[in-house]
Amino acid sequence: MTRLVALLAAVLVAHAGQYGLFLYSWIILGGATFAGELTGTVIAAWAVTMAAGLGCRAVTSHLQSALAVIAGARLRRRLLRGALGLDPAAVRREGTGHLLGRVLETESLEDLATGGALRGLAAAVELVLAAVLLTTALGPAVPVLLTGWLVAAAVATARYTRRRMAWTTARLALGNDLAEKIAGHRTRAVQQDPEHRHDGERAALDAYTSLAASMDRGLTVLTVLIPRGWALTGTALLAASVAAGAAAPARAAGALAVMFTYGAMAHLSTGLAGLADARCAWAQLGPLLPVTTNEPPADAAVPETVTIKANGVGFHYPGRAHAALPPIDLRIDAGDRLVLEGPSGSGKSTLAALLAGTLEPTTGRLHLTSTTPGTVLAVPQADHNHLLLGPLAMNVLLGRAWPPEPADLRSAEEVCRAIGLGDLLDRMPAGMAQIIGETGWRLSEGERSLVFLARALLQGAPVLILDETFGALDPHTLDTALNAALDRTSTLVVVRH
Amino acid sequence: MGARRFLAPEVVQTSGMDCGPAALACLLGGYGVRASYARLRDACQTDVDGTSIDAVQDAAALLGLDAEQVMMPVDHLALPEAGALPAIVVTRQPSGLTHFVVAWRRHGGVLQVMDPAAGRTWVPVRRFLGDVHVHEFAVGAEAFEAWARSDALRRPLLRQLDRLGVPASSAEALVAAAGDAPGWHALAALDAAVRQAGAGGFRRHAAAGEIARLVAEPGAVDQRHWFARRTPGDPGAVTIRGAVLVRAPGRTAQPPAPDELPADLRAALTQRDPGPGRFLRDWLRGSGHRLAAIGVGAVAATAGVLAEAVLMRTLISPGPAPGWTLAALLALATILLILDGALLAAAAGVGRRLETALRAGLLRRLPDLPDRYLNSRPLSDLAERAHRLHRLRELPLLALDTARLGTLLVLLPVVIAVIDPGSALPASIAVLASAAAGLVLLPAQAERDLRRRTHVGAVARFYLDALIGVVPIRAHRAGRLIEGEHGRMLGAWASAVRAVHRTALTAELVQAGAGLACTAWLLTAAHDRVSDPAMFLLLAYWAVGLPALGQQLGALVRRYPSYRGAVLRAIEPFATPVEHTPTPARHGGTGVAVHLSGVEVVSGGQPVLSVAGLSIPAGSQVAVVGRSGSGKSTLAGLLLGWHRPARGRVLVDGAPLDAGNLAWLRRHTAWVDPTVTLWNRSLADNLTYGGAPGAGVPEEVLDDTYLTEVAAGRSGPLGERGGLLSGGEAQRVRLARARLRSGVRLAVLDEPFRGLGRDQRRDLLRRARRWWPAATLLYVTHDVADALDFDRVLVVADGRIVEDDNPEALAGKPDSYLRGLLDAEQAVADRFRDPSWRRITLGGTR
Repeated sequence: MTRLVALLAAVLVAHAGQYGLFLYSWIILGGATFAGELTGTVIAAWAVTMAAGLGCRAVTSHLQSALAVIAGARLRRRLLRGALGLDPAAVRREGTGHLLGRVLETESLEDLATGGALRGLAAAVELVLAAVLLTTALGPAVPVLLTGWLVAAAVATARYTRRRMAWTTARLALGNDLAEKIAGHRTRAVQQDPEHRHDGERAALDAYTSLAASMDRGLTVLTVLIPRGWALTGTALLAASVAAGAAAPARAAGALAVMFTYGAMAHLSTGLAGLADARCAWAQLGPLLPVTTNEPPADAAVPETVTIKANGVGFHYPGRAHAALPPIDLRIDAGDRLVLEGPSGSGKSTLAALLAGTLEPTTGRLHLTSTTPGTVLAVPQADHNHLLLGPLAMNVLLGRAWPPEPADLRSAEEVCRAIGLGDLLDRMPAGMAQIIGETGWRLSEGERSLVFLARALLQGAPVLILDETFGALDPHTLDTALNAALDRTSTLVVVRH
Repeated sequence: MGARRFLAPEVVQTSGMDCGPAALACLLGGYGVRASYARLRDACQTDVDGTSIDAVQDAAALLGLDAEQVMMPVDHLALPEAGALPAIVVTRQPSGLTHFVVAWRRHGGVLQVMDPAAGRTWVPVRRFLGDVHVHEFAVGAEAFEAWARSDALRRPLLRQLDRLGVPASSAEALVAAAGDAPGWHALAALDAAVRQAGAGGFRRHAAAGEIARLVAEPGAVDQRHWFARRTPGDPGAVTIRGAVLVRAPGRTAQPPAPDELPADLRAALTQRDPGPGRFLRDWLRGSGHRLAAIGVGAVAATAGVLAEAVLMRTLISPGPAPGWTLAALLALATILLILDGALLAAAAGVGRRLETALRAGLLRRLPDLPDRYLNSRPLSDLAERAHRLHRLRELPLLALDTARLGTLLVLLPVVIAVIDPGSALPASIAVLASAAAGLVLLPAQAERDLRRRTHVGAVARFYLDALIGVVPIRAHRAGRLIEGEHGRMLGAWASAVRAVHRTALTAELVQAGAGLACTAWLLTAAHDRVSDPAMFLLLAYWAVGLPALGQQLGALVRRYPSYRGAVLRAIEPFATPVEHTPTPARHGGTGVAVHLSGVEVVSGGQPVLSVAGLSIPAGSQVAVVGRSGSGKSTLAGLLLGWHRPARGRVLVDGAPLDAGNLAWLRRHTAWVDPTVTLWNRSLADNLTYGGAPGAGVPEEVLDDTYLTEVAAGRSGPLGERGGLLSGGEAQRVRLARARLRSGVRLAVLDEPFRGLGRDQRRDLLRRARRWWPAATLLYVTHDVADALDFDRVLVVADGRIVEDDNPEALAGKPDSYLRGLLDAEQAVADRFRDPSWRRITLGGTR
């Protein structure tokens, strides 16, 4: 953080230097012109001052880029950390379409934020310097008027922010709706009554358009009315001083200062608009960010074996009529092989989550001989599991090591072949390095679940719970995969429907 | 016709994985063959995982290019002696995915590359080679030796030796000596040695000596410098590591006859892709007068700003200022305030209209888009378009900025010339110099900007993946690992961003420096001629503004590719041909009769299902079983319209299943499949979806589908794609939705009970068979035992119906396929019943 602040201060100093030199070059030129002493030397001095300003500009730009990179990287790290700490239920509420809408907001966030903030700050510096010039030329009314104008700018910014916020929310909702319709196009084609295909679309679009119109009006006030209004005020001040009989050089200084303060005000208002945009983008990410962002704990060594005892362990979602898992007693010893069965909704997955520690029991007591995190690994069902866009090796080594040691890669390949992915490995041009995931090499349902199995086996947890992992497999493949799993696990719990 | 153009035509891909057809369209266009990129996409079977390079090569050859797919050492790519260019080259993106670009020509140290992701770029050779995807492949030793002894290796080798300063005679001797040795290994070693000597910075005699030393002791050559190595355990094979490309040095002598081409490729030659310009003209037609008014207003506002400065000048001239100037100044400031406000409001209004029209059009068109259009594109790619539509609203604002800048660029030198004719020359030069400096540096900036964007995309994609996969990432405690990988990507991103800033700064300094020199020249020359100090100051004020114009021009031009991409992506659905689907009125109360004859379904060039003859009588109930991937779902998909038979006929009630009949059939189909979408709305809305709006859900339906308790505990939306339900719950919601459907003539139940326990499954199947008593019912499952209750079962294996009979009869035959499936299923069940497993059964009655 101190580095960021230091950089920011340096940017401001460099920018103040640049703008000061710029103003000074005009003072040299203007003074000499009115004094009638304009010579080649003066022009040379003017050019040197301008060139020095250019040097300052180079320094500012360089510092700004460093600032943008550091701030951007920090922001992205923070967002990822936040995402990884999310409540899984919140993510399940939103699928690819919704999350993508939010992620796209992050793409321009740091540009908007650093760009807006820097432009705004730079404009503030310019405004102060130009205001000094203007006050000298036109008198003490300037600071009072300028302050009033800045208050107006603040009000306009707040108004624009409010409207943009409403528009952004509506825009994301429209995007989500469209994405949902695209993803569900087959369902719409077969199940929807063609007469009702476009129900509600017009109304949503109209509401959105009127929000957009209101936001655009807010933007016009902020970026046109504020600077142009100031130009009008400044011109009126100038006219008053001319009418009062000010001398030519003072009038010249006043005229230039009016133009410069207008420029600074224009910069300030676009900077403020950028900041408002960033604020609205950030608000869309808010729900994805937890309050605290602690470092994830370092991985402690997990024990070889573990015993689990459950006494009356049950789970009840608040507000639901029935318990997700009625209390049960259970003991799992090292080396046990368990089949967990029951109809849909009987609490199999809930029990798996309780054993793995992702849920806390609402009744009863669960006792493990080791409480080291990672002792019990419950592999999520295929519907809730996910292949990351990346090499197959990364996907199977997710619970182990990445970037991998050669030994990790060797055991990854060994496990993949043992559970029946050998065929696939030979078929893919890049083998373990083949990119899989949404736009990567396409896997069948069965291959997908084998990759999930390989991922689980390679983590080497003392207790492994496989939730419906074998559901999509043919009997023959299942046999191979199950044998491999039995050879490589100490305690195995298989959830079967 | 047929000559290779100097510039590779720009073909920008509109979908994330469409670089293959876009690169092919560019390559063809570069030889004067105009081909539609959208149709090539179909012809090359481009899918969510991209395009196979073989398909690209085949299509190129069929369309008349002398195209061949080759592998070569990466560093040979840019050597004229290797004859690699022009070619479609496989590169590697920051995400690790492969990507196709067209390497068109070499100009000194720079390659002209057409990257379908952005357009034409000019890339330094070394950097391009760093992006090339390195592929490893085993080839036959004899074939490789023939290549190594040919000019294909000899000439690039001699060229590289020449570059290292090795005298021609020594170079010839080295190559000859390697050629004299038997087999390919000596030549491969020489090739690797030359590469290592080059990388080591050896020159002239030192290089020759180093190469000779390495050739004598090939073990000393580093692994990464070898193009070809022995394949362990196979003396007949050579493993090569290098670039993969489809090179097309020219056109074939015989141009292709359109009649002999496959339909897709013929369409590619006859159809045209839409251009963003024409499309925007069509969409903005209603706003024409507004745009004209904005144009006039922009000119007026710019002129007003100049007039303001002129008035200021009269104000600061020595002596009393005339009273009218004060009034004029105030009036002008007021006018500018109103004009600027009106301009921004009008431009934003046009933008809103454009966006709204596009959104409405897209929503209208969406249901009519062909299934293949949506299914062959990654969901995230389509969703991104849905979320990015609003970018088009910025176009009129961009046009406004351009109009103002253009006016200023023209007017400013003119007014300077009016004040002081002698300053016209330096003023024009100042504008030209700063604009030219910007344009010269533009390709470098564009190239770095593209690189930055791919890194931004990769980081964002990774972030999205982490969000979607947060459940498994937590379960596997992979948070640190993910953050580490993200950090590595951020490192690459940061250096890409820094490179963009560096070139931008260079461009700015060059422009500003050139401008400053011109301004200083202008002022030095003008101060003798312009004696009025106010006039001189005005001249100076404007002259200083000149270089900034060049910079703004550069900034505007830089934004062009990203907006072009956005427009192309938005308009693509409108350019896709859709079928009009009339709905003929049909009557008749019972189920439909289905008849298939000689049907073949092809997907990705592979036959996935062929049915010689199949009749399903009206109202009958048939089970379809087989292993996953056997083609049983394809059979169901034929009736739903997901697949078109490449050959043969599908008859429903004796009529061919054309678009109109398909629409009718779908209205009367109850469809249950794990892929049926649940909407992010309430449970009741999901259940009554497709029926009359506002209809209630009868209690008995909830009871029937075990949903009473699910319904009791829930009031809010179910999450995107029903994410808040468990797999079994979601499946029961799909069942209940089908149960509520009226007028059902056909029921397609494809794995309808996934995620449900055995008892529930049996029970639901028994009920479901009574829900639509008159309808024809198809029950597709890989759980073979469920099929035994049916009168008729179709057993599908390897894309064919291998058995079609009564299941009990088939089960009784020891050598039947069905018996085999049953036994295998039993064996699995037995495994878990083995006493080595402890069984825990949860719940009971729900």
